[in-house]
Amino acid sequence: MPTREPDSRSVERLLRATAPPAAVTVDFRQRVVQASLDARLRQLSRRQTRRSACLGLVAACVMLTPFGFLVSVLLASAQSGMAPVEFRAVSISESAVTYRNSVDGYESAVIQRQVQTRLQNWLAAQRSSNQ
Amino acid sequence: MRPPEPRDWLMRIRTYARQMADGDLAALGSLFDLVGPRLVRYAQALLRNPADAEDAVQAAVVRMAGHPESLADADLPWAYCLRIVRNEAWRLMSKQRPMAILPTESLAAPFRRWSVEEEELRQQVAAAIHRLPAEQAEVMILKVWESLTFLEIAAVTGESANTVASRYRYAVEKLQRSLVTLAEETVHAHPRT
Repeated sequence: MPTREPDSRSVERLLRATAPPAAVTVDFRQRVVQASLDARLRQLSRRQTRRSACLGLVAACVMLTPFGFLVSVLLASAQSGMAPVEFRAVSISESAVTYRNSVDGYESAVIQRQVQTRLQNWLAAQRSSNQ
Repeated sequence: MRPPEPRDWLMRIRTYARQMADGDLAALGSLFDLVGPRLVRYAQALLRNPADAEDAVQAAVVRMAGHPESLADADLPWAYCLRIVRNEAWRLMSKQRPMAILPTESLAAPFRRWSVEEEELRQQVAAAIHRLPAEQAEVMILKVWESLTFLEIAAVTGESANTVASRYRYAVEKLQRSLVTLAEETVHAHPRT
């Protein structure tokens, strides 16, 4: 029977020597990594969606200001190949729709055709009235 | 098991977390290989149930994967990992049963075969730790198994470093009394190098 108590380092060594090994099964590793990857991808996807929505909102807000409208007219006119002066003849709503569609990536050829037809009609009317 | 070099260990945790934050999803597997097994061991000590421990670690790793930048920027990244596991373990325990620290049996049994003598010794040590108050046993585990400093343990448990040090001192005193014979035998069997 020992007559003295072990010091704290002896106790630590004993505990360390009898510590359970740190290990996991392959299945568990695979499950955790897969679940974590899925969660991370979902989070990145949500973040991307939020970012797109914010950009869309900012673009919409900018378009509502006079400067934003001017920019949208210039952009839309440049896109359609028409001069800004000519493009002004087209109704505001149509140019805004065209720009919005182009921003959203859903540009509509139908709308473009309608804009061009109206513009040509307007130009023809101008020419005939000048004559 | 020899604990890894603290500086290298922390640097690797930070590196993998930073890589994950930068979009390198493969770093997640490396991070898990680095910390996963030890997190499971800690969770098993808290929950006394391998299945619950795995659930807690899985939830914790998913949480870490969701915010890798927090882990990369943490002052004490390893303590941060343990803290998340601890929180998840508490969440599980609050649903199931009051906190009970440390198993006295079947801890990590599938991964290592102990000899009869080793198993007997291990059981006696586990029983001695199990008799400690839960908060003292946890401090003892984090100090001895995970080689954390009192400051790091305080970051894990949310207590002050002084409180942690006191708990450790009390735990050692109690273990010295209960393990007097075992410790003496171990000292003779494994002399200090």
